[in-house]
Amino acid sequence: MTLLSIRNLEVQFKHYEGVTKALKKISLDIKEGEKVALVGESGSGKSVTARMILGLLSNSNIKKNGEIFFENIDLLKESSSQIKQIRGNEISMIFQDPVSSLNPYFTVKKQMLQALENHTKDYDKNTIEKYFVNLLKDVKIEDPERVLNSYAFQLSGGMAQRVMISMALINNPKLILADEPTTALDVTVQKNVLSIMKDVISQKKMSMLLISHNLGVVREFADKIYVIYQGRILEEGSTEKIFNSPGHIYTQTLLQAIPKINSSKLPSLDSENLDYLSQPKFTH
Amino acid sequence: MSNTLLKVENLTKIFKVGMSKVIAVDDVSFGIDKNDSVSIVGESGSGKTTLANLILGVETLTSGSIKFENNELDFKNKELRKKIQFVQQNPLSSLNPKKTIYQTLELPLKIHQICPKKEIRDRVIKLLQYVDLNENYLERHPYSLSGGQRQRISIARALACEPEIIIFDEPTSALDVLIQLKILNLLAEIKEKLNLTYIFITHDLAVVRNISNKTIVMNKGKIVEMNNTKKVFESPESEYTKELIRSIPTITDAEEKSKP
Repeated sequence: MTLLSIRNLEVQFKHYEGVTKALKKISLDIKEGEKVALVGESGSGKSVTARMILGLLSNSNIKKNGEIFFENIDLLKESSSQIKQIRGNEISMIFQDPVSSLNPYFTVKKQMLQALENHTKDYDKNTIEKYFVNLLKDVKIEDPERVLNSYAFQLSGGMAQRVMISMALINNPKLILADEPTTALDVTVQKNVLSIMKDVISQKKMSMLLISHNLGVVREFADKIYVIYQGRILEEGSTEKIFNSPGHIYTQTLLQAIPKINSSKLPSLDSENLDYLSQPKFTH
Repeated sequence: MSNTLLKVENLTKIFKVGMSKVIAVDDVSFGIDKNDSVSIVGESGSGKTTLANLILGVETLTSGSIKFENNELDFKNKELRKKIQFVQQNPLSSLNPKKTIYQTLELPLKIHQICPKKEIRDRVIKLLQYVDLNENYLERHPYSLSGGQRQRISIARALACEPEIIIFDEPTSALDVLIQLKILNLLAEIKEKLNLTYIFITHDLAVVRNISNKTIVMNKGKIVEMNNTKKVFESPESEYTKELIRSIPTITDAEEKSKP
């Protein structure tokens, strides 16, 4: 069953110098229980895609076309109050920098309560703390009671990101968007957070859209990959296919350009300065 | 050894935070030879940036010594100071946004009186050529450059004083992979051409493997492993180094197999 389906999405930003086409007719599907990654360099449009899904980009200077179906509702045609019901409830998001996405003034518990109360007032006050503790345990936090009563500055980066993940789980969403969730973390912590995220997602049978520029992270995490470049999807396929037999020249160049840990020389590219957009999209 | 360029002995730096003390660099000793390319790796908080700051003289050391060509580094000594230059992680915040590229590059030439006033312009153009840019960039401002171009300007500025050693603090972690490769290749080329010694401070171990001949692994202010890079990656001794290498996300099965 397809959970999220983006069809021919176009986004343009109007500004004083003219128009920037951020997304040029992209299509993307996420099935139930699937972990999909959107990979690209900075400025390729990957974060815009996530923000469009959540309805976080809407003002008169932004022109959008196409459809984003979430369980047969077109998110682009919904009113903002209806989007609010979906955002944080059925679709939630994890951002890059965990320490700055937590509110420094409130404890973790207070912020978890807010995330819950935005969508339901009908909960049992006596058991709610237990529920939060369990969510924190799901992301392998060892002393959940302490963390629950902590402020953001009292948590390490990896700890704060795990709190963000458990906050995204509060309303049992069907889809979680994660925008560079491990970029701000050290490699050992990154590995830990990735495996926790992977476990939680499959355990709760949720779907995830992972946005990243790090192909190594994507390889470890995703079932399916979309490669985006300058607002266009250039390649789509299973993780295995993308890494073992990349079809588009851009994907091939990217994979070549990454330094490898088993080589003592910098990689050399077969070809440079190509017009990657001249080759059509490659679908495995 | 006679060709040791930089010698660090029993270096310690303690920060006082309120009533408590933080030992950021704890009794660290190592030597760097001429033409070395040394990587200092470790996770955030391991003390690698503090170590770089001590070598640069941005922080004052608590105890120990840093010697450059057998002379104690005295950072009031301009002659010695210009021999060690620095390239920072984020070029947008390390370049002055109000100054043109020309103004940015002429400043070190003037301060250290590298060349006669008349020759400054030619010198600046030469610096730009080292980093594959040209005189069309002279009157531009940092905001109008791409991330890769900005980092090239930072490198050109570091080259201005004709240094012996350049310290790079995460030089490519703000850049996309294709740009990263170009900058790393450029650095290798410049090193060859100008006979330089590099110190890289980074957490990207795959990059370390590709660009440096020696690797120093730090954890909690201490050196946990120090050897030639090939050895560190192929047969790491400390548990911490093994853990670090195992955690690197890789893109090929061959890499995965090469992990300890």
